[in-house]
Amino acid sequence: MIEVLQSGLYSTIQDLGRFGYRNQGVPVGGVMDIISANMANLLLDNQLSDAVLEISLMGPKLSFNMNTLIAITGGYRSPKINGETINNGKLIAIKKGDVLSFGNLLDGARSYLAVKGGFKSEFKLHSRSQFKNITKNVRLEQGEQLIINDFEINIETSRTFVKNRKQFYDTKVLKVMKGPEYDMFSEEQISFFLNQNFTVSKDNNRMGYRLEEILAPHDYSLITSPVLPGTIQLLPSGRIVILMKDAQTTGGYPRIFQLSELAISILAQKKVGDQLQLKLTD
Amino acid sequence: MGDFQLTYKKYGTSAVLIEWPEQINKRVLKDIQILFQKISLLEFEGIVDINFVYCSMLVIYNPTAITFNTLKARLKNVYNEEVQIQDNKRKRWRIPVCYEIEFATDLLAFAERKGISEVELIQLHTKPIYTIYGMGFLPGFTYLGGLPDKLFMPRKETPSLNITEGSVAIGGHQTGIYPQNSPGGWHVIGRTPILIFDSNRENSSLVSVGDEIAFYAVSKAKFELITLELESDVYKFEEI
Repeated sequence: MIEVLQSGLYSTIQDLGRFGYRNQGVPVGGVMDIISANMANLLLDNQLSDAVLEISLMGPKLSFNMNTLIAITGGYRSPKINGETINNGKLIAIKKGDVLSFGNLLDGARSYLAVKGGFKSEFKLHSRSQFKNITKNVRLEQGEQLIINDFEINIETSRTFVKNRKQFYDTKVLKVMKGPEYDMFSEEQISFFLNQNFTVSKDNNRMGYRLEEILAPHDYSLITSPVLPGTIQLLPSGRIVILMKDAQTTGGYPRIFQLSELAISILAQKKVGDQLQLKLTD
Repeated sequence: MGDFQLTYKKYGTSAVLIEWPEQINKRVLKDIQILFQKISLLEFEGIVDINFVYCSMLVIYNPTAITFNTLKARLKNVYNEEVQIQDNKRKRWRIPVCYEIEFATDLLAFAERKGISEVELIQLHTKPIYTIYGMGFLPGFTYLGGLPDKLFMPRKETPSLNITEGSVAIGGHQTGIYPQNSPGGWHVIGRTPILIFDSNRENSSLVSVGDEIAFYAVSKAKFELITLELESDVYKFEEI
């Protein structure tokens, strides 16, 4: 069991998401940066579907009351065990009584904490991903106890790590494909999109990222149709919204581009003020 | 042969978007449902989720199990194939709504703007049998078609910050039920005690796309009685 001494500002339990319920309006959810989350689970020899803790904004403070192994990936938040700084991308042995805390965010935006065997939080509609009105808890709460399996450490752990000299998200380029309404737009509009430097606005969260730049207003309207995480929508006001994992399942705005899976992970590591460029691929 | 000319678009790396002619009507919805039933019946390998609303269907697949071109070809075949399917188990639900002022925060203003009486508004709203053309926005939020033209009302310019769970509202040409407390831009004209979506129930969503809904007016006392019945698990959902 892990006791949450301090919740931090916004951490949630996530797995790969909730499939099979979109027709009831249930978002897919799941880890925003699947590359980092998978890396953490792989380090521990977990299943990729094992739930991890997705940490954003201020990190939590956690006390372990059992032995286990952990790995932290994604954004580097200066993690510490009993006050001593540790690295990301490394398999770390935890002893009963150890306290994990976080400091300043030095790169990226979201960190992933995986534990051996995964977090055993509430399993609802085939997923542990926390979401309002689906799971009881929608974020980490102070005083909460997280259930994990006990694990006897009997392997040499200190040598397992991922070499990570340059982070995969250390780029402003997001690869996009044509969205369903791509052909609705003029060549001029498309080329504007592909040559513009965009900025992440303060309105960015698990549902979507709004961009700072505003294009000319338009009056294309669509009959409500399904949307996906990674869809770039152009609002009538000229606002650009990139949908993310907790986005609603349907929308009525033109879907001009679709981010690749890798681009979704890269975007998940961006924060307010970060620059973006779109690059069209097949 | 299928009834319509469909388009199949690649949407991202793991989804096919199938589009019907841009129209909102029961023929299109029925055609979409038949394709959905055929796909479900054939237990297609590689499909992980299907979402349809109004006149389009999104088929999400696992790209390591099947390619876009293979899936597209198979979907086209299935659409045109004669498959014996059971007649659609469409359900028609009777949903109680209390239109009393305490719950219907926008009812008076709505009636006034429309130049009709409150009684008339309630009569107009409870008359049609609405069709669920899709679900989205929130878990369990239904897009209902069939609102009388006389009840058309543009959405609020500034959305309300907190609309109570169960609120029955009108926005544009649509009416619907808020399945949870949420911000929203529709005009609240009543409230139902029925929980459309409950993740603790075996069927988390009471209704499905393609089902029909009729509203009927109940008093506040009846509303409270139904709430109690629901809490003690003795309420029987009403089908027509």
